[in-house]
Amino acid sequence: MKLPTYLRPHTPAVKSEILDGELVLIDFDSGAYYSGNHVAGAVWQLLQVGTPSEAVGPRIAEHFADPRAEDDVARLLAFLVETKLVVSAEAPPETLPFELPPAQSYEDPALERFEDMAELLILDPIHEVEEEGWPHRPKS
Amino acid sequence: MTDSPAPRARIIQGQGDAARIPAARAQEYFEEAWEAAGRALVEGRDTGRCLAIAGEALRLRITGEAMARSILPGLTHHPEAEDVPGLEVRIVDAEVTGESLPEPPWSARAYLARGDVAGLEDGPVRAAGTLHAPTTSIEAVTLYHRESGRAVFWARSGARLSPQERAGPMRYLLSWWLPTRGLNLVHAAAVGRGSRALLLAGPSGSGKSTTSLLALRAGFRFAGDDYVLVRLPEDGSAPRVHCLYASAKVFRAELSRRLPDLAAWADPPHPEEDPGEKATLALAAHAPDQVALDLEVVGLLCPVVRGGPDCSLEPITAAATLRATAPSTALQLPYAGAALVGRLAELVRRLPRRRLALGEDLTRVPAALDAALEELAR
Repeated sequence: MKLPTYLRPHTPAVKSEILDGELVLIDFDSGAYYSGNHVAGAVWQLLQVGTPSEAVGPRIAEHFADPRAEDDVARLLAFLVETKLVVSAEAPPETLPFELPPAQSYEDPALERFEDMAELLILDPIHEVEEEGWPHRPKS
Repeated sequence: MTDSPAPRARIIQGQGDAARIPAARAQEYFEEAWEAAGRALVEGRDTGRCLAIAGEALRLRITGEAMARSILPGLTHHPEAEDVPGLEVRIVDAEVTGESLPEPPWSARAYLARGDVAGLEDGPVRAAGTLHAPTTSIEAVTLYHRESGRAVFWARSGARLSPQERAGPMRYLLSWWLPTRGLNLVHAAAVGRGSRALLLAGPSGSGKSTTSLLALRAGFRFAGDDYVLVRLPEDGSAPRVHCLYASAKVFRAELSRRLPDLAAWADPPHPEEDPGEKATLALAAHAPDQVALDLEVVGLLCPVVRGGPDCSLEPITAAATLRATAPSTALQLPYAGAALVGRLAELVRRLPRRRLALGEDLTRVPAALDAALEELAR
């Protein structure tokens, strides 16, 4: 998959928080939410400061001294694009300097997805109206 | 990672029933409903009250006794307000007044499952329909005009308002208005001793409601089992929790099995109630001294049901703690959005936290909570 040169978090639909290096994402469009480890958090922060997408994998691999990171990061970025957690971005004026937190042991940055809340955002579960005018669900 | 993305809510620009509603049309509709509610109040006799929720005054104007009997018991633990109200709510009982909600500029197909109306985002008006299982009809529509601090709550029938709505009246409206006053509804329980409280955070089924009820039975102060109000002071001082609804909900089977001494606090079964539904415990009536209007939050606990007899406190990461409360809070409350998630993240960063592993011997839960209060308050 050919990624856009620059990617950015898909705000305001997606809200992210980094706590002690770990990543929490909530997608307000789909109702899904995600949990990511410290490596996923580092990837997300590199995207936030305007790092070109093809530079993220090598930067992570170097930081954690683990060559597996390049392929893992490529898979993560493809997933982020597919799920619209990130979108294509304009080239930033400059990539902001960003120091990755001290390296811990490397782990696959795959995100864990949760969809237990997603049904709340389904549109149009109610599409009939009673005689008095009150909307209700069909009897099926 | 799973392979297929979750379904996305469909907002169709300029087409169909989820088209964006122009701000001017939304404003016009709100004024129409506001005026109609005003006429209904005159005809239905205004039985309203002014209340102060965590120090914030609001005025409820209610058509008739039936609606007042349904709406007020869940809120009367709040004192009468002395200040000028920041919100005025006109509450209409369509059955008593014979007045129907003016036809809105959206169809029945524009409601999300959560209840909010698609197409009103970022406009001057927020709207949602309230629908509680097992009924299949929207029982009330809430309209809120943000800039002027006015709202309309128009219900089909005050006498037949669902047990869920009676236990937690106008939750959506309060979740929209109270953040403008620095208060946030949080999907959590809260219990405490003296002036200190623990927030119990977790998704449905995690054990926070049962934990809070066991604490209630053991004499703890109680600020809520499902939603509480949290103030996060900007000056960095300790967060505060306030009881919004003086009620608790528990499955009737669980009440009989685990908490039989609280059964007398439960409302009788609703005529249309499904056998699997929850009973509502009216705490303002039965345990008024335990209802906590204002406590300092000293820690966050995330309950989880485990095997074995014991309860224990375990480490938990900040990210796991945020995941226990932010998604259910932010996704269950329409318009809550990113700002609320940011405030919850700040709350998690400020407070000590533990996982509360719940064993099979539930008699040990109160002692575990006392231990947590002592440890986290240091």
